[in-house]
Amino acid sequence: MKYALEIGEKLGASQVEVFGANSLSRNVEAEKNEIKIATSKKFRAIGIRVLYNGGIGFSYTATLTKDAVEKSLKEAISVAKLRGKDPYYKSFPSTEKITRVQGIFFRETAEMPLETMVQDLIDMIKITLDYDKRITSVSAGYSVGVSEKYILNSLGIDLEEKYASSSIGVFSVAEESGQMTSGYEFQAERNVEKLDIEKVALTAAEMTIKLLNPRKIETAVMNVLLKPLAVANLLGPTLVRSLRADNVQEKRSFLVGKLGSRIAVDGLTIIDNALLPEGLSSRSFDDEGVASKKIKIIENGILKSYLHNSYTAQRGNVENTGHASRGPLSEPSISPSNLIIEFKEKKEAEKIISETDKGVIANSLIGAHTANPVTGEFSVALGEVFYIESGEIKYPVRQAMIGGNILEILEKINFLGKDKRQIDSVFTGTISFQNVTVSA
Amino acid sequence: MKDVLRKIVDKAIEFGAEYADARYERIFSTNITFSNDKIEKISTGMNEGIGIRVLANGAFSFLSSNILNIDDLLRQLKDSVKSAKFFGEKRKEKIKLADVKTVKDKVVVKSLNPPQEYPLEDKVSFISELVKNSRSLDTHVVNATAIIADSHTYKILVTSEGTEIRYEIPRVYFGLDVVAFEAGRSAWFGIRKASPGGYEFIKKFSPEDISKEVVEKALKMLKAKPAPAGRFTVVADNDLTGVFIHEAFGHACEGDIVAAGESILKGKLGQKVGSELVTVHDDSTIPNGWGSLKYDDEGVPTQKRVLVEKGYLKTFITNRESAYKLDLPPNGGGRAQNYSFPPLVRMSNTYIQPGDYSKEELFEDIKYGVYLLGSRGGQVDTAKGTFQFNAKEAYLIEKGEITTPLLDVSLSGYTLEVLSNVDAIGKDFDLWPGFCGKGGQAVPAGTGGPHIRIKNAIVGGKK
Repeated sequence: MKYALEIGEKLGASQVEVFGANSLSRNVEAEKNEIKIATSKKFRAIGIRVLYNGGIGFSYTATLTKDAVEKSLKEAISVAKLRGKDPYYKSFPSTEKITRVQGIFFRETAEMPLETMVQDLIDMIKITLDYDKRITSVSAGYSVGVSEKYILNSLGIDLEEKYASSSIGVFSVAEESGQMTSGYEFQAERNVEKLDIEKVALTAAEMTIKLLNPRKIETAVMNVLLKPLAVANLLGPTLVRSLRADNVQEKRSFLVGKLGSRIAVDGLTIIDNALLPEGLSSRSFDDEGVASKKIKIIENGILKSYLHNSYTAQRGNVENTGHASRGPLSEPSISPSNLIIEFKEKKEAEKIISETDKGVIANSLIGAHTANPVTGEFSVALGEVFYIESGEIKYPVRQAMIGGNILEILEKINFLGKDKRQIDSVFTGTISFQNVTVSA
Repeated sequence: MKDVLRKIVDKAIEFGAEYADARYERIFSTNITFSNDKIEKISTGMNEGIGIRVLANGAFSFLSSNILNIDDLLRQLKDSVKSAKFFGEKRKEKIKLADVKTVKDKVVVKSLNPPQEYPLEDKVSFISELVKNSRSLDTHVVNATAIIADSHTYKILVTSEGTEIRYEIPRVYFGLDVVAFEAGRSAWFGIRKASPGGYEFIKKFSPEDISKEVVEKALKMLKAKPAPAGRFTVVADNDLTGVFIHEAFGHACEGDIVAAGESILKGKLGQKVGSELVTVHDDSTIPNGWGSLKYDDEGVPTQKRVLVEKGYLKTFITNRESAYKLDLPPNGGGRAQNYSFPPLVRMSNTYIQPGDYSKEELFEDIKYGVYLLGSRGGQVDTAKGTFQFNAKEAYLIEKGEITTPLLDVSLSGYTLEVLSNVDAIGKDFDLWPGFCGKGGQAVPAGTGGPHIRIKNAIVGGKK
């Protein structure tokens, strides 16, 4: 792809950057207790950026012939002309020392045979169905994928990295005296050998059966315990979106002007660590080739840093935190890597439940994506909810909702569970929030 | 390209498949974001690829690639057929497809100003105008962001049964979001407009009027108070009624979910599921509808489906596989986001039929309730029958009058109860564009209806 840099410079660009991606994902799905479909998806493309007369241009192509690349470069230059000189952006990133993160590619994942995936799915279905005869229908999925990204630019960046990922999931339905309910569980790992078929199937089955015969509760103020999936559901569309420096600079964030001030309960610390071994969002460098590092986002409730890419860092005149994120078909955006949630009061999740006098515990949030990303207001239904009284889980709850502002609810954290797991970018245990109004 | 696809499906049969379909798509698209004083993001280009689905020994296999090398594709296809056969051995029940007539047709959705030919400068100037107008209207506006996105898709579907459909569909989509800020507090409001066709669509709008509407609403939201929590009588506007029926009911009518035993509506055809005031349609044939299609991605002609008639569950939305399993006619509900996905059962344009209440009549008996308008979407758990959907704009209703604006409000409910709680239906009607997500695929889906009144809805408020 070096020729793209040469052609671009010949066409008059002062700097050129190529971001390429190749991926192959394979997936097997089962529905209603039977294997249904295998899919395989191959994709490759490059995104080309240029700096031309101080303006940023972009274009992409999936055809990688010299002619197609030249055409794409010309399109990028015409976009740069249309945009005009950018007042903030001077240069693409330059080379720096890269620390290679461990555990992001596993041959075992890349070479996982289809036959094994199918047998594992059949086993998962059997384990789930055998758990209880009230379980009537099981769907399950198994995915493995490999991807490779490469970045080259006129300042000498020439990097590539390979990633592997794998995941399994089980969804089961139970029926009893005309009533229906469902439960599920999933696991995602870089290393396919860490997937625990039996545990995932049993967890889904157990959750499903426990959710039978839900009861109504009354609207009241109580403790709300959110399991890791629910925490990730809550933070993704609210806090994470507002941490992006592009949203802050464009005033589309509720964290504008809050750097250095307290935004959450004292004792809450959030670290973004792209170098976490085997982390699902780990990478040695971001999607502009900037070295990954460990960044404190929130420390004891104080907002320490936003998430930057090269554009927002130059505009804000601050150090680039290395959070550029993109596919080849678009310009770089910003996203976190592994967001690690820490809290001063940590306990076993069971202990948090046993110390809860009155509350609910929810596995997920339904409709979290409808939260207001600019103000942090949310109003969501709780998914897979149980009522807790006097330290014991009493019964499943049919309907419950919570609403409010993310910064207000972050003030209400009183415990973090030790049951840590990673969901997308968020690495957390169960979090307990005190005095939350639950509508029912 | 049609001959290449024909060769592919013939090869699939030669490799031992019972059925095969191949879809080629070439998608030209442009996406531009204009924020405050500059083009924040711009992306323009072409993406093409092929998706091949085979049914062999009663099981499916699907492959897709954007590397259009026929030898490479045929090598993968051979493995793909082999995988399906292997799956078939593991299945007790073979997958079968409901019979359909083969079709040879060419469909062109007309555009006077096709997206590919409309100058990039003019696309930019339309959204920069929206942004400039919004910022000049009020000093409390701290950000205005407008987006414009278009696509021009050329599809060819070839099946081993003989169906050959060429389809050309342009689409244009734009939106404006405004952030207002006053005394330490911010508010956000936005709108989205979309249509199949070309850039003639945007000429129907006055950028001044759009900016004015969005800015006014954002400023109103600055004064909003936290919503109450608990059960209330709710009035939903057209837009929200559409999202409500889509989430609360439409998803549970999707044939694949029903056939998998994962919908609370399974086995309930012909039964009463709601008030006799309620009639629900999913209609793929609305002229120029956002979710309209003449044929689905299995080549089946689409239709107007009556899901609920006067409170009784009438039919489900089906693709060929679920139609066979449920013993229903295939009604053209198999849609894929693009060539890289196999089709799933999807809604098209889903709406509640208008009734006979005037807007005033809907409100006049409400002592204390909530009026909800517009939506940022929702989510449903079809097996439990619980759903949530969010409103963009909300007000208290006190003694029949619309009063205080409320901060972000959502409703939650229970599919089997909620249609019985609809106790009044307005006579107005409107349809709105949106995107619906399922199984990692997003497709254009229209939603709408009249204003409706719902009793006893759970509002997720703060106090």
